[in-house]
Amino acid sequence: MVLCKANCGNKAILKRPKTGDALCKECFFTAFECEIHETITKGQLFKSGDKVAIGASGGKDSTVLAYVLKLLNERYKYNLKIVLLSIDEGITGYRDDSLETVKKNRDDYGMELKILSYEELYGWTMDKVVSVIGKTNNCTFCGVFRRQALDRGAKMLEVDCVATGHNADDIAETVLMNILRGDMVRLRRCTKIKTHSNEDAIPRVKPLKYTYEKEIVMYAHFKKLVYFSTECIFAPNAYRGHARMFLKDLEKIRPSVIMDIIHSGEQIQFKENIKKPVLDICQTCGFVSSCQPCKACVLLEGLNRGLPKLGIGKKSKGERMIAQQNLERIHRVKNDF
Amino acid sequence: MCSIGEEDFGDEGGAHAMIEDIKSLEIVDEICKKCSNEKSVINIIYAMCKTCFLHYVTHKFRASLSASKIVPSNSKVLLNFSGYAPDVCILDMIDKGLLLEYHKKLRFELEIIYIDEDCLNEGNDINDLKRRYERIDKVKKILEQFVKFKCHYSSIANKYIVLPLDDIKENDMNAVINDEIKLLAYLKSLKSSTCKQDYVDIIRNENLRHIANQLNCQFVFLTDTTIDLAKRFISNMALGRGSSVAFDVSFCDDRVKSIRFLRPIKNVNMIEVESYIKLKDLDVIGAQKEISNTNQLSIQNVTSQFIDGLQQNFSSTVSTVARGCSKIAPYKKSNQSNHVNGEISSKLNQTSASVTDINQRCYLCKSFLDYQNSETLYAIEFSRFVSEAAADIEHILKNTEKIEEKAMSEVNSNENEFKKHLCHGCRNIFIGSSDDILAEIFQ
Repeated sequence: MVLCKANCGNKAILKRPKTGDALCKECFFTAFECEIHETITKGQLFKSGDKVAIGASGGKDSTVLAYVLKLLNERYKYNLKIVLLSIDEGITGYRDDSLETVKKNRDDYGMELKILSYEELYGWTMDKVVSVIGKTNNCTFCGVFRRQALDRGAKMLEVDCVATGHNADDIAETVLMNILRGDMVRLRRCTKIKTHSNEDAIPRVKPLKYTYEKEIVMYAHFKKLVYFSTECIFAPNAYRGHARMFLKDLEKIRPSVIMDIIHSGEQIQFKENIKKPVLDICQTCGFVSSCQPCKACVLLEGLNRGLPKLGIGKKSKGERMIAQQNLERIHRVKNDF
Repeated sequence: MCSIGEEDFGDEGGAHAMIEDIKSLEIVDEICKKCSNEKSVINIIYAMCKTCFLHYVTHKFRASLSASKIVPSNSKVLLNFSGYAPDVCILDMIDKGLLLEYHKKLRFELEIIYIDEDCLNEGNDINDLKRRYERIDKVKKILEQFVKFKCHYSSIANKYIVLPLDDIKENDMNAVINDEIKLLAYLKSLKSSTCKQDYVDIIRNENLRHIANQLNCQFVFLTDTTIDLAKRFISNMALGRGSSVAFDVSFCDDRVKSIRFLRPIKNVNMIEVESYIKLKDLDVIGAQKEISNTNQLSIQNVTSQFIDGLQQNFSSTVSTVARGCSKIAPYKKSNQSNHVNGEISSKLNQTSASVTDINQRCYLCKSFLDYQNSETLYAIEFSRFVSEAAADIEHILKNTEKIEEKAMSEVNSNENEFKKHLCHGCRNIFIGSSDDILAEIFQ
């Protein structure tokens, strides 16, 4: 029988992947919560009196985040007002079910919940988007719209920051993905615990940055937290799947590899001549973007024009598609006369 | 839940949009697109005849050297040669380059080193001299295809042994075997295949620097191709070597200014190397250098298999990763206050006088120390201490500052005279090993 490393005399029920220490259930809860508290205080993620929106999907990460943040807020007197912010992408059989979980979280934790739907923001549900674009590029629409929807929701709720449930595994995976894509700009910023797109924008924070996915699952399991664990019906992301499987294979060999990758991502430096993104305000929608107009506006224009592939691929290709359509319209008008 | 992070989406669309390539390398029966004269023999970026293709590969090699202007005329260059296709390819290009007319002639003096790594493969009997001599003879035979260069023999187990490749006596081999036994015993004390492979990579580089110094060479040519860089970039990130990975994948590794490692065929891929060898009908030991003990589970081997898999289905990803290698820079801290005291620091200064800012360098890999005030390493150590104290939350609440201090002290290795001289990646080599094993490298 393996005893708890904390010398409490209890039988250990898990081996922590980060350090290899075996802990009993109660000691695991204490250590898990103390570590997240340490991440929050060391990283100065919140200020007293802040209104914080948790990006809540109903999944294990955001559910654990909501539970722990509420607990720590009370235990350490952060003096935060915590609200839940959910995005309804309009995916029947997936998001409608997960939103029920978020609503249960709202009731259990006594937090205000704001649900913003793609339909009210963009006039399109993901079901409708998939019906015109198919299942090859649908995730581009969903991801781009969600990023902006969270910003919009945060602005509506007048919060000081948005806390997301990104865990250590997610960050390590994103480091690998950015290397595989050659995206040095995102590699530079994906390990940051707090991101500001610009000074006026609402910051995003990742309190679970150093928390392993396995521990989040164990915590939710032992605490009997209710979460939704079904994969999206539209997300057969083969490429990210490769990277995820690769990371899992590495983790089997050396569990600390996740922290090592995050450390590497933080330490890596770039040549001075590598361009940095210039963040600006989209002139069409007024939200932060690194291009004009922003990606969300281009994708939306494509959907509304009946050219759903407008924002997929190169900008020049999209411009040619618009020019071609405009030309056809002119011809049609002339013929009508 | 949705497995796609928002970080996936940039201005160029989602990562999932990367689609499998169906590029064909089939030799097509058409006229060379470059010279419009000859019949094409290969289709790399377009259909090319033999002459144009060989010129294309040679141009990549020469362009990397001339663009960097790092190698001055009359320099002495050491080529790390094992007899595999990339080694033979680069040697052939140098061989022809040295014989060219005035303005295109390569102007450096080349010597060749063959580092014997036979002992690292667990299947090999190191005492089987017949087999070992046969291997050396094979390398010598490959070298006979070229102009007579000065060729040396050394062993991975002892950087002080540098012998003429043409004249290795039995006594010399016996000495090598003794050193190999010692090295293998040391490797056995390291806890995993990952640690062993990482350690061997470091001593290989250390040996090359030492031998180059002994032979008075300022430059060492390494024969890494595009796929080697992609593999090393990702595996070194996974090993926690983000701070030094730029040295390991760049054209010029100048972490030790007096001996620079250059990778002149880093932009050449394996298909091009193999086609070059085939079209010139050159003799080689094999296509790619075999990694020892590939059947063992290690971070390096799993990464290698992962990249090989990508090469099959997403070959453009491999070149994308390799291109990323040219965008990163070595880690530097502007005002790093790394106080090194005691016996080791004086030893460091004595043994590595050529490294000017040694106090900031890792004793093993010579990269900059990267652990100081690392938030991630701190999070690991905090986790360790808080786990130990988790039975009493009141105690944690009252003693948080002490726990934080202990965690920070552990990150900076204030208590460990040896670890404080190692970067995070090199510390990982000694995970689970005793301090005696670690101390041996400082002797």
